Amino acid sequence: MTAEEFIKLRDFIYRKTGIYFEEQKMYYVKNRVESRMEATGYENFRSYFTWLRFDVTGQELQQLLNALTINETYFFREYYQLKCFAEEVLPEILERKRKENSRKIRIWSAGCSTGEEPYTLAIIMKEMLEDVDDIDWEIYATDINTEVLQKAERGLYSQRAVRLVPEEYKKRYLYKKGDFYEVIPDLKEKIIFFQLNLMDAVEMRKMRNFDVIFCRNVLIYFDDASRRQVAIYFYEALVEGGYIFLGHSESMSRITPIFKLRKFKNAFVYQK
Amino acid sequence: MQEPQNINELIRLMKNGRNESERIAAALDLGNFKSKEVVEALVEQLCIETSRAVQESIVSSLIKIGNENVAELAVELLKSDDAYLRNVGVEILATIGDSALEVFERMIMHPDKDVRQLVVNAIGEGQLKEAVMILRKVVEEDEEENVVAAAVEYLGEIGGSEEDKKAIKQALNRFSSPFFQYVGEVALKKLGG
Repeated sequence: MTAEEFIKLRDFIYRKTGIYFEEQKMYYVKNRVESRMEATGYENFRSYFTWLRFDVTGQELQQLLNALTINETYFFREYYQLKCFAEEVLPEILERKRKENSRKIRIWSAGCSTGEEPYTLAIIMKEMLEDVDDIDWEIYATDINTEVLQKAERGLYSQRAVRLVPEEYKKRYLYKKGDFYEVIPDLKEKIIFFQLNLMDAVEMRKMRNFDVIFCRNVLIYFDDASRRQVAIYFYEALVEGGYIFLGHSESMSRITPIFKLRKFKNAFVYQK
Repeated sequence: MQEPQNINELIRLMKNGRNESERIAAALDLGNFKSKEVVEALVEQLCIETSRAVQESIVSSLIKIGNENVAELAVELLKSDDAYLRNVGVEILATIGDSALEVFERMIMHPDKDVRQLVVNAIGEGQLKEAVMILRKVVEEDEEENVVAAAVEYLGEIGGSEEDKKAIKQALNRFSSPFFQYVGEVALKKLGG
């Protein structure tokens, strides 16, 4: 794949998804494209790209996106943010729910990859709301990559992925299956996994009334204009006063001024 | 609720929708239309809008439209008294780049030095290589030290030709302040000259 071909492909992916690959990612993209060409029997980029653009089923584009957007993660990643969510944000939400006489907490893990984040959030919810009877909760977990979603639904993880899960939680929420750990059914049924492109205006408008959104290390794949667009969709998806957690190196203030920055003891969080 | 079918209905919803959410949705939907009428309505609303979220939706749509109509009107934002509007003006122009070249060329002659400075910022922030000639012209001809210094700084980042280096060297003879000399030397170093 030449530099010119890379730019053509990059622009095509950007138009379809808002995901933007900088020039320095050329070799990363090239390797994955070559794997897809090999898997599909195409010998040169030109014919593969023609097929990709005119494939009405969109299946190859999805396969290529799957190959390009794999994001390795693990349970209880960026623990201080989760502590903030559990011990500072969640009590505020509970208080608000009681005042509003509302019973449901809705959480969205946007860009959930193979599921470690939504399952971690489910563990936290179970633990924190153990003695709370009057509140129900659900977690929506989305990703553009259909392959990672399949893995997420299966809920089977290596020792490496669960290395930061406290022993007590491991006993309660995971069971050993050979060299792997599987999430218990009780946790799985609290999470709704589905595919979603964060730049899809129609689908994003269906995402409403969330109390918290976790979108950590996802917006780094987008360019400035797409980031702003996604941030506006998130704003619309949140209830008034809802919270959004970004990755530790990400800043919503650099994307848009529509969220307020809240300084909690354990972390910075953005609020509608 | 029925889907709004036409541009006028969307413009009406953006201005007078029942709530912020409806107005945001209308502003975002208008980004799918490229006509001058839509761009004018978006910019007009941007300037009087009180909800920051609706404003940001309008900016998002203007960037998405990204044509010469947007460039023509976004440049007017550079003259605003409101810092937010000036900043989004720079951001829009920097992002839409190519469509704004003609506007840039005209606006570097603007009598207000602050406007000229913002135009230089838009070219530099957008890393618009196609606009290097415009930056060079500023370096060669503008009388205002701060405007020229900004142009020199960006020329050091996105320029590269012998003409660029020559223009910077000439500017170093025109402005003797330590600040300018420093900016010029750094730019020349970046250009390998």
